[in-house]
Amino acid sequence: MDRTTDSSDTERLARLFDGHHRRLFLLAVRLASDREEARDLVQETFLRAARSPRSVPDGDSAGEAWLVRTLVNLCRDRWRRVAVRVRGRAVLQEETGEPAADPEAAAVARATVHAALSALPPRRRAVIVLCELEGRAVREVARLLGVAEVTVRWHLLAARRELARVLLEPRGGETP
Amino acid sequence: MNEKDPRNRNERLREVLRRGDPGGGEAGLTSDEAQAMRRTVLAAAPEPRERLRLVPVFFTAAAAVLSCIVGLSLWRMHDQPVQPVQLAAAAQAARPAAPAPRAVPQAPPPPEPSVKVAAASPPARPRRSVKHPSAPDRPVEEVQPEEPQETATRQVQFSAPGGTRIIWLLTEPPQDTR
Repeated sequence: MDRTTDSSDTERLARLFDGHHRRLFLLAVRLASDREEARDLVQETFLRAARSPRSVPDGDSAGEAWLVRTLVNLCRDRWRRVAVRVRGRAVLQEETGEPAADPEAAAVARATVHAALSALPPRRRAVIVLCELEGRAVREVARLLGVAEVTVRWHLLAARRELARVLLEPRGGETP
Repeated sequence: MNEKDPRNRNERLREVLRRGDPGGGEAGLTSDEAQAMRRTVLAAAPEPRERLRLVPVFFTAAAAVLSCIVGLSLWRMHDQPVQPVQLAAAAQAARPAAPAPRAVPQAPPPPEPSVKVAAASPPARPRRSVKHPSAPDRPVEEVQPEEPQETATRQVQFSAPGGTRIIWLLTEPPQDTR
């Protein structure tokens, strides 16, 4: 009986990986600083599922929500560990201050958005990525992150305000 | 277009974000990367047989320990009391016609209780001993009588650790009746 359960755990883990690794990697790319970090985050997320398969809830959507929550928590742990919050804002000012250094407009836009997203706290970043870039509804984001809808709306409002200040306002707008 | 309108601002923000989406041009993990990661993840899953092997070992060890504990408890509870047959045999051995009396081999020498075998003048019927209920019976040590008595009744006295004195009166037929 236990052997059957264990083999089903392995099969469930394999199904979880096959079904969600691509989507999870895209989310990690948007949340992490670079592609390598995103790959590490995805692998660490699935490794956590592998180490304690019983903690992953049954069901495809519940399993996906567990993976997203774990990924965001891992992002948050890294973010706290590296303490890039203050430094990120300084870098953001520098990067957004000279966008013309990159010759390609798309690369410039990507770097700008990436820097703006990096300045956000991980959960807020996850909310804005899931809502604005992945096009998910507030209710679904709340389910994925395991928080209340009002919390998602609050993070969304704050993230929009911070991003608009960086991305939409003209340079030097803060100084009259 | 009003720049201050929040709805308008959100639309513009969404457009800017999607234009500079960090994952926009990302094709995802390559197939080699995905396979390598899959192998790593599945290899990290705990081995089922390792976990299964511990279960019977644990229960066997627990059962063995429990059996030992129960066996020791029962053995201590059923400590052998002094048997009247042994005392009678000791008194029989103390008679002059008998060969040299020896200690009862079954009884190990206890430290405290003592037994006295002495002659009793009035012939009486053997009486049952009255023992203290809480005092445990212990093996007694036989003390040789100073002189063999010719009377038909012998008395065996010993005291229990609780202070209870136990007297056994053994009636035997006289020797000169033959």
